[in-house]
Amino acid sequence: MRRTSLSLGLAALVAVIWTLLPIYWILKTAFIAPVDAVAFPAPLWPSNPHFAAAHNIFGFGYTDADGREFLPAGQSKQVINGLKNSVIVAFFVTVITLLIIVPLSYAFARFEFRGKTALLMTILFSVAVPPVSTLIPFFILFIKLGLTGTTLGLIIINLTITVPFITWMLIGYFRNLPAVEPLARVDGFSRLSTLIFIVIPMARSGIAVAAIVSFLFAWNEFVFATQLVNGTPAATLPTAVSGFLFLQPQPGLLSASLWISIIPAALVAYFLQRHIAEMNLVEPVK
Amino acid sequence: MSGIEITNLRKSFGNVRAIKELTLTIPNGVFCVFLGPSGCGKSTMLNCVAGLEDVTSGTIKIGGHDVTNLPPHARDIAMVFQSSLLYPHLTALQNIRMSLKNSDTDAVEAKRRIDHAVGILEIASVLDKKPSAMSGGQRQRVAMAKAIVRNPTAFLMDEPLAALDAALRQSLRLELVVLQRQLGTTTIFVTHDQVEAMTLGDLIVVMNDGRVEQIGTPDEIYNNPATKFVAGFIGSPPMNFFEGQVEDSNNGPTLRTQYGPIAIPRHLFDRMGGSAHSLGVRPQHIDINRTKTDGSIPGTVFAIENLGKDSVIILHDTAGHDYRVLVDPDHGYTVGESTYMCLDLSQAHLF
Ligand SMILES: Nc1ncnc2c1ncn2[C@@H]1O[C@H](COP(=O)(O)OP(=O)(O)O)[C@@H](O)[C@H]1O
Ligand SMILES: [Mg+2]
Repeated sequence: MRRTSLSLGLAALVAVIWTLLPIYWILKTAFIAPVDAVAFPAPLWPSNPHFAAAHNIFGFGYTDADGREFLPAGQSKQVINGLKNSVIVAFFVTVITLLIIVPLSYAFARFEFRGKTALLMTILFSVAVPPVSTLIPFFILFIKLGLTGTTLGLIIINLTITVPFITWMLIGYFRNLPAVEPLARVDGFSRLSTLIFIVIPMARSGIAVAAIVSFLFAWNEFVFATQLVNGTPAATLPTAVSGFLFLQPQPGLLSASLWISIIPAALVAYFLQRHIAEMNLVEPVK
Repeated sequence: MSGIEITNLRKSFGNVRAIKELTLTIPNGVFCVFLGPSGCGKSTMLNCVAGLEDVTSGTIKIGGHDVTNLPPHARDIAMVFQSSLLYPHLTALQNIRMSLKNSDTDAVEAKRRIDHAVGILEIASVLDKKPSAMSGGQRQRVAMAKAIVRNPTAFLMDEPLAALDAALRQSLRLELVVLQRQLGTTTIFVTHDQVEAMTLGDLIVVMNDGRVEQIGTPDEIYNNPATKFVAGFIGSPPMNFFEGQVEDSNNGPTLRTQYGPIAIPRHLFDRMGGSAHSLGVRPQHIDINRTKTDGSIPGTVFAIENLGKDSVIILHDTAGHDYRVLVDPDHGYTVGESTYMCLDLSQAHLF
């Protein structure tokens, strides 16, 4: 017993260090003066905190204690614009995904109708297709429709991934919920009001997880964004951050922009995380 | 006023005829148990009465009103589902309130009814708990409270005790009977457990394969089974059947079996006539001996079940047929012994 918990603790420690150390390493750079950031050996923590990057990334100038002035560079404007676009895209993708998938996966889980199997297979197929393989066709289509370089186009293309994938995920979840529909009918709920007043509250954990998954997907989506919106006013945060790779190295700014891309995602995951655990604990009926 | 009247009810799912023909009147205030093996159509019948399934043909009246085409909520019924299903995300109190949410009961009246139900079911301590935090017995009581607050003309219950362990089931059974007497509400209770049916029911409806086999009090069903199915289904250990041909000869009616003729009492024969081919004898109405006597039937001890107060000896005949005999635990027989069964024909049934 002691030995298992000891080795379990060790394993957890290794896993935590393995994932968090590189993130910590890059994130600390945001608060280190450019001269210190390139020193060897690099400082383990910002013992001498320096806030130039934190100001510059939001477009503000900064004068440090030694009187040196740091002016915002061009890429930082991109980051702020990318943040705004990413929030818009992730928000609408999440909301639209939920509006579609909740009734859709509920219907698949609970009702029998003609063509159900064929439709399910179609959904499975679109989950199985590697998204990259649809990139070129989408690109051509979007050019013809004038959707390249637009937030709308990006939202649409994100939905083509999130909707089938999360529908597939939620069908199983809805199936495992107790069949309270007859109970609701005896209590006088119509089919629609059963969905709204009974099933959705009952399924809130699964729906919250669906929201996390679609938000994080849209927030992190890079491949489509690179092709469709990079270099346009509709560019999202990941493409803006990647822009630093092609400039003269600015580790402080790169790090600050990573802070911006990680914090909202971490907040969303943090506030909805208890549902991830709950989703797997379908309450026992017996 | 009559409680529930079902007339010529039929229900098909596509080609599956789940209810073939059912006519039944349940008098007001009666506790009626639907008993039958799994898949015989009990739940379908109950769902038709509740309005959860549309009937294929026939009419259903509850409290004198034709409700055949009304939705469940308009039928003045309350239902307790399999395993006492509740909304898993709501507390006991919220679950109970749901029963009145879509009715025009005013707040004062709702509170009075809920307090009353909580009082008689003694569930005040679990009102803030969700179903997953309650015991099986508590869930059952909450489900009953949820049903009671509707003040219905009829309670419909679909195997509410099925998922509980034997001891709890026994005590809840008693509570249910007492509660139903107290409220005097017409009740249909569905079960596949014959012990449950015998202990609960004023009236038992035995169903098989979408049809009613027999309707009667527990006494009538046990002592005068109308069909071979009922005879074999009710009673534990089950009734034994001896197959053969019934003939009326000079020496009185007999059943010709492979072990020779068995004389049949005249009154049995007169009731059934010559169409019978099966003699049913309950395990407690058979004696076994080591020596052959007149009209006895040979059998080899195959297994012995000790029930504590009695033992059941399971005999095989040469064809491998099972026969169960109830004996005192100090019977002294061992597996493999050859014995002879002596039937008490005054207690037998012909089918
Ligand atoms: N929704 C349905 N669709 C098709 N067949 C059904 C449906 N519900 C029940 N049946 C069939 O009707 C018969 C009776 O089922 P049911 O009433 O559930 O039996 P019981 O409750 O006595 O176990 C079974 O053969 C079952 O397969
Ligand atoms: Mg059933």
